[in-house]
Amino acid sequence: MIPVQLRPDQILAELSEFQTKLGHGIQNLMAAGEIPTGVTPKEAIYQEDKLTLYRFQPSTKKVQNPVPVLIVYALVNRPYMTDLQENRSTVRGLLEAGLDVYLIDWGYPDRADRFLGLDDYINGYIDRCVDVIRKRHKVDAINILGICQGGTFSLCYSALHPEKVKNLITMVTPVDFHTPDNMLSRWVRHVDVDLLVDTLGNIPGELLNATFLMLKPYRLIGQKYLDMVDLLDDSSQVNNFLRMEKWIFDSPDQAGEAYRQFIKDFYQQNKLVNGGVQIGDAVAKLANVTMPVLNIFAEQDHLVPPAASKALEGKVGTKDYTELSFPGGHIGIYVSGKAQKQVPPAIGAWLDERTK
Amino acid sequence: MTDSNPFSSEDWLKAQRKYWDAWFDMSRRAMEAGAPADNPWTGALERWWQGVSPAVAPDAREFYDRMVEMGRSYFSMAEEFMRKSGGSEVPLDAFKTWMDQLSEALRNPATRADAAPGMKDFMAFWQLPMDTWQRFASSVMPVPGDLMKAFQPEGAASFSEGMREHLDRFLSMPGLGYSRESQAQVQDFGRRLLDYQRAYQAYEAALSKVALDSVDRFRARLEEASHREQPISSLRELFNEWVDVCEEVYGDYAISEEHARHYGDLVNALMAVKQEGSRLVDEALETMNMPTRREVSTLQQRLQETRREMRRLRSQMETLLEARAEAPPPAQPARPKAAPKAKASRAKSAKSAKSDTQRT
Repeated sequence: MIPVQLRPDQILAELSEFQTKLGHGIQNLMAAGEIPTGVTPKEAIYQEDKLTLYRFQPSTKKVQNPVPVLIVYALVNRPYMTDLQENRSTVRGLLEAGLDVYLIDWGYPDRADRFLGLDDYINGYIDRCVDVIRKRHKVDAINILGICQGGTFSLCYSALHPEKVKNLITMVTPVDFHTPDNMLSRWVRHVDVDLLVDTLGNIPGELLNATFLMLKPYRLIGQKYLDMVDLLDDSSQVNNFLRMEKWIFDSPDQAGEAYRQFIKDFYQQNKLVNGGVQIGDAVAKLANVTMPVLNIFAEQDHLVPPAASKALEGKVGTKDYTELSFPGGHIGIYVSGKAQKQVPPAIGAWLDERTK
Repeated sequence: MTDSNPFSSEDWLKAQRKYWDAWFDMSRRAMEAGAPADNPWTGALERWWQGVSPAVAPDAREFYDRMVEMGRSYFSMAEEFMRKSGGSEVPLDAFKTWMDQLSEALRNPATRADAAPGMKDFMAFWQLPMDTWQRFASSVMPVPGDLMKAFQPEGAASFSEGMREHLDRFLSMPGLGYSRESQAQVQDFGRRLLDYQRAYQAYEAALSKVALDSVDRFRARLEEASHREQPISSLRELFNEWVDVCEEVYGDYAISEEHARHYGDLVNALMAVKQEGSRLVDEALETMNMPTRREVSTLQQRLQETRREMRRLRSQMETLLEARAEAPPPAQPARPKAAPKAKASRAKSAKSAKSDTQRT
């Protein structure tokens, strides 16, 4: 027997309630106005092409940890996810943990940036930002926190310039791109990336958006909006939702050559694990990552499955390797209430043990 | 009392409730007479949104569009059950019939066109992945984005292989004479469009199969859950269960090798169309003595190489300058030791004598 008991009056009440919420909620939506993101005060200390290096204003009077941290975010989506709103900010948590925090904002590449390759990003932009910070703080090496694709870049950078990295933290970072549960990796396996880049030049943000949405289409394009109707009468919930929407669809185009190399070398050929990632004149080998490493992954991550991150263990050249497992998803690790309490303090404590 | 919110006046809601009650009464009588009922709730939602949307800011409108779109699927599910309830609890057979109809419509595209409007609205739910793809494809296609839909009118069977072969042969006819080359280019473009159409249809067919599997798994899931103490007693609960099943079946398929191949074919075929289209545009630009995309790309590439080279040289120069600054100061050439006074005096006399000699 099918375990469903629906009464017409109840169905009617549900639909009526839905319609009422939709009608009332539109006022909240129209009152929302511009949604601010990136809330912690910061100053631009270095600029080059589309890139800006920011330093966040410390929240405590004195920065307790003498070694600054540089956040290297992914090229995909915008880095304000780490500082989305006052009560959902990884950056704020890191500042409160006594760290001096810098962040690379890659900006929005346009067609003039189409020939930027991974060498330009890793040995160029990241290296120059690291040098600027080293010089400002008069230190030989700094701490790096790489997030998602930025974590993969940070691993390559640390392998190529180990003398400039004191400690490395990777967060939801893909390392082994061929784990069986990696849907994105499967999808690009038969895509002719040369044809794609030669044809489009830069890869439009719309393509990335469409790809991410199609990973879970019924939930992300469908059910999510139906659930939202229930929250429409709460203006703060509406603002939170809109803020997240803004971030999800705020997808910069990807510089063509960097995209080509990233997809071919990492997603298709899994070279970070198999060896042979050529960045400029040198090969980035994980064995050369000799500084302490903290690897943080999310247990319910559908974009970077935990196994893809955990593969780092045993492949880096350091003996000081620590893993931190977070019970949440790829986005929740920055913005959930639980993440605010767990992740930044853990990073602060781990760094304190190694740098004070 | 009237509400200050023009989008949800209580009067309007009351009127709508009355309208629904009247419809409900009418549909019960229609059921008794065996006549099919209309889908008034989805229609009411639609009309409400048409009325208020012009007053909504464009950003919020897009967001609301999505909610209304989802509401349409949700409402149409309700309508299907209400239609079968006849005023009392929805009979269990109604769920079975509903799923049978869904299966039939998915299995046989010809019946899809004749499906009740509510059923069509509900089936739009499965179009979400294709719609998402279509939005992207439209943004890069050199031809109208819905061209592929025009190849396959609603309810029609897939663009037949025979027809495609015929077109393919037509597009492979050798060109003749002075315009032979440009004819070949246009034919190439046409062939690539056909390839894309084939890949699009294959992907769509695969997703239809996923939708069909979702109905089967949903049926099985409900039967498995027949022992549960608390039956599903709200429409929303049923809808959420439905979404979970669809996502589960889609997830199983999306990680398969078959999907990876279909997806790869779809992307590659679209890019081939775009590439050929760009080539045609470049040809046209060249004839007008305008810069082409190809030329601009070459310039961009050379510029980037020059920038890299310049960076490398600057870095080497800085290293050299730093090394020079850090190096100990070079040893000064040894100065001749000061001569003892007597010797200096003798030398001075000699120099003076020499100078005198030269003067003479």
